[in-house]
Amino acid sequence: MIQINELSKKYKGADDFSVRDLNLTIENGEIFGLLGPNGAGKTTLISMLSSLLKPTSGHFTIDGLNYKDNKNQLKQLIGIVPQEYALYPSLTAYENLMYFGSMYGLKGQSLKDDVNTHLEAMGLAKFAHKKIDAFSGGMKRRINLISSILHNPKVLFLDEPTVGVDVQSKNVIMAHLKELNIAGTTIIYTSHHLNEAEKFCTRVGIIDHGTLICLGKPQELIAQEENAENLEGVFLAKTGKALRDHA
Amino acid sequence: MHKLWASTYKEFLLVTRDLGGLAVLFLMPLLLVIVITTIQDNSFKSIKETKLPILLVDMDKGKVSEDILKSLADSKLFQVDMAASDEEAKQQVLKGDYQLAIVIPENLSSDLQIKINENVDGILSKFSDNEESIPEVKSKMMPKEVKLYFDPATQQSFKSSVRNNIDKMISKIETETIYTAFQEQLTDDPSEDIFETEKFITFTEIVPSKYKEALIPNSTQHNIPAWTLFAIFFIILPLAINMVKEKNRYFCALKNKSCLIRYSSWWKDYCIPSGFFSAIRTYVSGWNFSLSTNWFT
Repeated sequence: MIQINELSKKYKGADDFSVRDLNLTIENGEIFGLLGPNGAGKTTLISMLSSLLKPTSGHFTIDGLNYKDNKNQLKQLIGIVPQEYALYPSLTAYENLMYFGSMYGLKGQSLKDDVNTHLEAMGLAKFAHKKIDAFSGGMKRRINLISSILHNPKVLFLDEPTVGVDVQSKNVIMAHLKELNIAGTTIIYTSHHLNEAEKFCTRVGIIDHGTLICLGKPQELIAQEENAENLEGVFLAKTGKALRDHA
Repeated sequence: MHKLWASTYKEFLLVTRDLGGLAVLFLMPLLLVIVITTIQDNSFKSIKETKLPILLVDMDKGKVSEDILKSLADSKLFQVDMAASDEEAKQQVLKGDYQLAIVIPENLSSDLQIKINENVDGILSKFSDNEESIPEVKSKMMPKEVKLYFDPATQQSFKSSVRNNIDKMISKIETETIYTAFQEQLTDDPSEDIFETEKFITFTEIVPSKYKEALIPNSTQHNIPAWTLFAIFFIILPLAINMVKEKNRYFCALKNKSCLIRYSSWWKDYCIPSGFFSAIRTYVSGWNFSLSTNWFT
């Protein structure tokens, strides 16, 4: 379970908080969708939960482990799939995964088996020995995902895992994530694809200006919001139609 | 150890597949060695092989200037050219045509001879009972000044060395003149040796060597400290580039702060293999160039 209490983050030199006094509980086995417009604070929140950023105030626990006291143990539990491709382009898919697996402390035949299993599941087995450079966006996304789940994390943070991929790749990624969830992995997922989130997530939270403004199961939220036919309708009703451009 | 090996292997793969980068990393140290050793080689040649051109202004036209000229020629370090005047010598040195000009003043030999003769006469008269033999009037001569013009870029050590050598030459000439003056006063036979004028103490320079000839390092070998410093720069540069690249790709944050940190120290598992390979690239190219070729010997 992820327990977040009064969590805030204000960047140095920023006028306002990116995340402000956020309270949230995510149960084990959930697929939690963290939704919000650009600059709402989604990535900041995920970065804090995955220990990439230090909170300005407040605290959180993952499986009872505190960020301050059990940082290293906490980090074992989590996997992060960043929005950017965190791969070496001149290495093959297999070499990349073997390297990342080694960095997670995996080794030997079990690592090779894990890599091959994931490659097979993601439909990339026949491209295992091709360089990442030659891969399409969808293939890179899949390798990016595998590199973060080789150590079977209990909690997986996904920052827009399907951005820029084709429908086929997206289906494979989502199916694989479902399998991981069924196997017990809690998934925290951010995306701008609200239809995808509606189908995929067991619960969603809409965040805007660093504050959680809406929380619940997708169908419940749709039912609660007048004139909303889908999650996108709820989203626009809660966050408004004004553009959120900022530089 | 396993993670260190994995990082090293990954680095090896990255290095061997980046042929363009690899070529640059090999060529840059080679270029560096060529540039530095070429620059240094000029000063090496000026010391080792070529004679240093110097100007001599002989206003004395006497024995002292003759002896100085002979000593300079015998030293085999200088190529002595003559200048007509003090001003001409000064201008030539200022223009950088010569590193050194020596101006020997007028009547140096004759005045030195007169001064020494007077001193010798004075000394000998002290031993004589005949009061008439004591010279009554001594000539009033101003001290003589040998001028040395140095190129402003000349090293202080070289200046000191030249000053000392000229001083030594003049002292030797003075001593010989004193001996000669005494000889003339004490005997009428110039062939009679009263004084032993040969040097009693001499110096022999021995360069320790296993071989028959002294092994003098060439400019490439001499510059190992210089290009080692640059090699460090070439280690840091790719390392820094890698760090920036990794940071941009989210790797730095991942490695530094995420779950990887429990198993892997970013410094140990990433920087050391990267630095190690960069170091190998730099040193291999540098040493190969330095040791397997003898461009400047």
